[in-house]
Amino acid sequence: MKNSVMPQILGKLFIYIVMIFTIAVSTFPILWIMMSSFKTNKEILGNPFSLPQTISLQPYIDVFQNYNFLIYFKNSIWIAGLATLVGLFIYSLAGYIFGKFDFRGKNFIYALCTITLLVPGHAKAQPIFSIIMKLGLYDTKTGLILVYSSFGLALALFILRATFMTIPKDLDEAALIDGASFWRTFWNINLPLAKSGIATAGILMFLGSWNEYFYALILTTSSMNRTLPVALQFFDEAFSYNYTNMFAAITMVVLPGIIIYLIVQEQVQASVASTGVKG
Amino acid sequence: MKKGSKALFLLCLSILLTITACSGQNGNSTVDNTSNGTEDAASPKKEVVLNIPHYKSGQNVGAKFFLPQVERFNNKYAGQYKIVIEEIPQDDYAAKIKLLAQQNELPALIEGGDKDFLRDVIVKGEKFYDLKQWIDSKPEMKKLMVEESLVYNTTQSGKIVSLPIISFSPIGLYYNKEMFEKAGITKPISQMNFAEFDEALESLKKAGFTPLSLMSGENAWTSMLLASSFLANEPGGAELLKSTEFSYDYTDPMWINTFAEIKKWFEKYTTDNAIGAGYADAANNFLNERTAIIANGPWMVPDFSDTTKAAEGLDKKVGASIYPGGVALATVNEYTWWIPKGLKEEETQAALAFLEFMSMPEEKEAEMVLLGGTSPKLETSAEFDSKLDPILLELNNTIKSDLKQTVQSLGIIWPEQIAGTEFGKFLPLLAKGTLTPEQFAEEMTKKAQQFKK
Amino acid sequence: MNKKWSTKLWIAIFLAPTILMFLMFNLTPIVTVFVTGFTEWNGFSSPKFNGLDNYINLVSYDDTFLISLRNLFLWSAIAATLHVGFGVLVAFILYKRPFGWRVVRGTFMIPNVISVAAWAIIYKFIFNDDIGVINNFMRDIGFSDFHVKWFYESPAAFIAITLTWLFYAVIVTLIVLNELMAIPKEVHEAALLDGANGWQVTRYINLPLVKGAIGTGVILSITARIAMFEEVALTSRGGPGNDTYNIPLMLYNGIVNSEYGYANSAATVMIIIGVLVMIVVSRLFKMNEKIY
Repeated sequence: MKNSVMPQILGKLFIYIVMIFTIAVSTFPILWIMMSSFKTNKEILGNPFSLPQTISLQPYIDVFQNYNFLIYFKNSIWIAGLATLVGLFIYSLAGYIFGKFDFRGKNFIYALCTITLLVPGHAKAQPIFSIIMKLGLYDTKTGLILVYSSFGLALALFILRATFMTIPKDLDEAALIDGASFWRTFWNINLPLAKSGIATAGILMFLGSWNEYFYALILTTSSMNRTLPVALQFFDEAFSYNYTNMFAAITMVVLPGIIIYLIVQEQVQASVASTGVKG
Repeated sequence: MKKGSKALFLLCLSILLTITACSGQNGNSTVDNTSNGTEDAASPKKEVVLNIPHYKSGQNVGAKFFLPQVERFNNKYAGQYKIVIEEIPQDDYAAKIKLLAQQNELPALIEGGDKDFLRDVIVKGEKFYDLKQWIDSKPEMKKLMVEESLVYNTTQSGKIVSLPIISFSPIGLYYNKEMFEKAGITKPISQMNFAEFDEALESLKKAGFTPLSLMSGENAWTSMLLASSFLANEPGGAELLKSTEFSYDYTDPMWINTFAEIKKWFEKYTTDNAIGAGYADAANNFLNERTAIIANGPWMVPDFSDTTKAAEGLDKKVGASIYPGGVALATVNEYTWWIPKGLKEEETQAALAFLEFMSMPEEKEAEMVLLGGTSPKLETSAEFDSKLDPILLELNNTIKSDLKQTVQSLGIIWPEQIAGTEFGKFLPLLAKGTLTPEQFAEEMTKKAQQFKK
Repeated sequence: MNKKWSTKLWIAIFLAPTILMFLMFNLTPIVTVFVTGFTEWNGFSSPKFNGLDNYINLVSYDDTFLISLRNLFLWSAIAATLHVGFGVLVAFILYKRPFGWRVVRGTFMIPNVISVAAWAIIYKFIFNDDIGVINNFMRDIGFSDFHVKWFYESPAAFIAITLTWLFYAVIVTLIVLNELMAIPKEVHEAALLDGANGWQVTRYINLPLVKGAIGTGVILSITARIAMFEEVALTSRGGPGNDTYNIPLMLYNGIVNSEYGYANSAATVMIIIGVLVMIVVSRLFKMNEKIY
């Protein structure tokens, strides 16, 4: 059977148009911002498509020196990192139990926990705000860490339970016979085998916390505790006279995330794909 | 390997412990020991540190005077009191204060805030530190205060809510003399009526200039000011703008006329980017000689000679005036700096020290030199006029010669939500003709009714 | 020590932190939201029961809530069709592994690893009239009067906000692609032996097999629209007028205005819509055994 050539060529063409379009919409906005950060205010106002005349790092140095950028960056890393670690630790404990043990009410508790995935996070804003206030954690990194680690609950439990379920029970029995304690069975035997699930949950939790804006906005106030996404809003006001610095600031906010992503690209994509849940 | 995992476990455990341990900690104003490096014996007395979130910081126009003033205060009271300013966008300030108030986490010093909230919660609920006794104990300072402001700040039970003002800044407008000359406009703005003002806008346009720096973003500040002066010239408008009550209904003809005028300005006499423009855009347009007129308070004057923001030599071209019809905008009926009730004694003392510091004659004079303003009772020094920026001097002179009436701006008589966001959000629809002035008035009234309590 | 009891104790210890997290940041907030939705509460005094007043006010104050619902409906419809459709299309294309498919997959993810706040601000500049790419491009190609104020004009603001997320469907792509790759080779071989062409394989075999994954994509996309905040708050602020208002923005304003009861009634509606969408979509795509 011989198909005519035309449809095939058209098909190929269509495929490549879609692919190029996808790459363009995904990268152009950022590349444009980055390129513009090397242009002077005049050049930006003159023609948004022109290439920069000279390459100067001055705007980056300005932003870095004058606007506590390093603090925001450290805050973001620290808050997202710790929230992820704390969350992973807590939810691996529970995931282990849900995956490998039976007790009365187990399914009920598990269902209750995972159903929270359906509640839009913003809807809980006011009560969470008061809880954080009552704990005296308003405007602290600890408060944000706590809230962020709580956000991972449903998702992490879902992933980790599934992971621990795949680890054969024989291993536990063997360990018990050897006299290992409950804790050691979990920590030395099960946890290392659950590495992939933990990595998946960890990446999703980290990305979610790293980019979170709404709660960071309402739960912190001082610049000591500000994260990068919120800092951007301050830049928006501070640099409204100066597009160059604004664009440099945006670049500096988004670049670390992109770099981290490029390093662990494969894992991130696998995480998203395997769970089908947005971080 | 085993060692590693144990270490990881310990790390996690310590994190959990830190979290629980931190729970007791408090986010806001705390008493710190600043000399943490030295031995206790060296400085037995602790410095009181106040962390104050405020918008007069960073690139904000208010920062130019305020931050150095805080610096001077800290120097004067070094080792005793220290004020640390935390930057916060002006747009978010009122909301933040309100959130903090709910949890009794207010900073020790607050400047104004959401008007409805101040009236309904802080004043009615007496959540402020009563300044009465303190003011009475400082007769020198009390003598300088504006009587009307003192009355406004006194509650029915005789308590004083916030620091009564000593000076106030009538808000006018700035214009580019060079453009006015080229357009052949000779009559001073303060002596025009609005019909003549419109003619002047037309001749500016004919001469190839964009007349007005307007904006619809943020709180639509420059547009709101100009509209206020227009309303003051409408029959009944001035009385309305002098009221101490909020206005919730905008269907009266004087409102419709005002909205129609705004629509005309946006359609014919302003920049392309006015719709959606924030204050910075509007200011930018005037500072870089793309527009001929901007309505704004005297605190903008230092920007005219700041070459990082303004075109070189602009300060020589700028003239200052009050509005057509001899109208100036100012309010003394406003809550200013207040201290929340229930602070630690030493924090209250530190906050009071700062209020007193701000009210000192030399500080007031420095403020008026830099930011403009007049004080009815303060005797300024002999060289005051010569220290004054010529632009501010010009403003003061038009006030002296042409002022017919001082009224409050719309921002003061509108409820917070209208003044802060809704006016600006609906403005593009009016400007683009999606809403007629009548429809616009109706929408705004509908919004305002929600906040009527 | 009794072994059984010690195991039970361990189970309790292992579960305790998770249950604490659940109670503190999920159950308590949800119950609070639901209960205070029926009260008048400004955060300073204690809540006062006022029946359905908040819900009545939601629809009677002005059209903000109705517009928010309309926007939610439109945005959800666009998300479920165009947005998911684009994601699925890219997935099917990448499944054929054309030259450069890994690059596409890799770069497509980038907008999702950047904070939505940054993305919204970037788009504010893209649509800027003075320096923005869109308007300048239109003017360059001959529409010299093209001055659409994207986030400040009706209906441009709605379109502009839609464009900030419309094409970023990488989550859908990755889920569907993952499911496609899991289809056993034999299925295709059998079909090809039966004389099916490439299109038929795609239409009658692959598409039905990834139905569940598409359903998940639809749920996730709609949930993202229900909770969309930065894209609106940092660009049009719900304007011009009330044009682009949505429920999260009402919620935020309710908190800022200390109308907690009112805000929480809006939040209750948000939760109910979230759960409803979930149920309806799972029914439509006949998805079970999955948690969604």
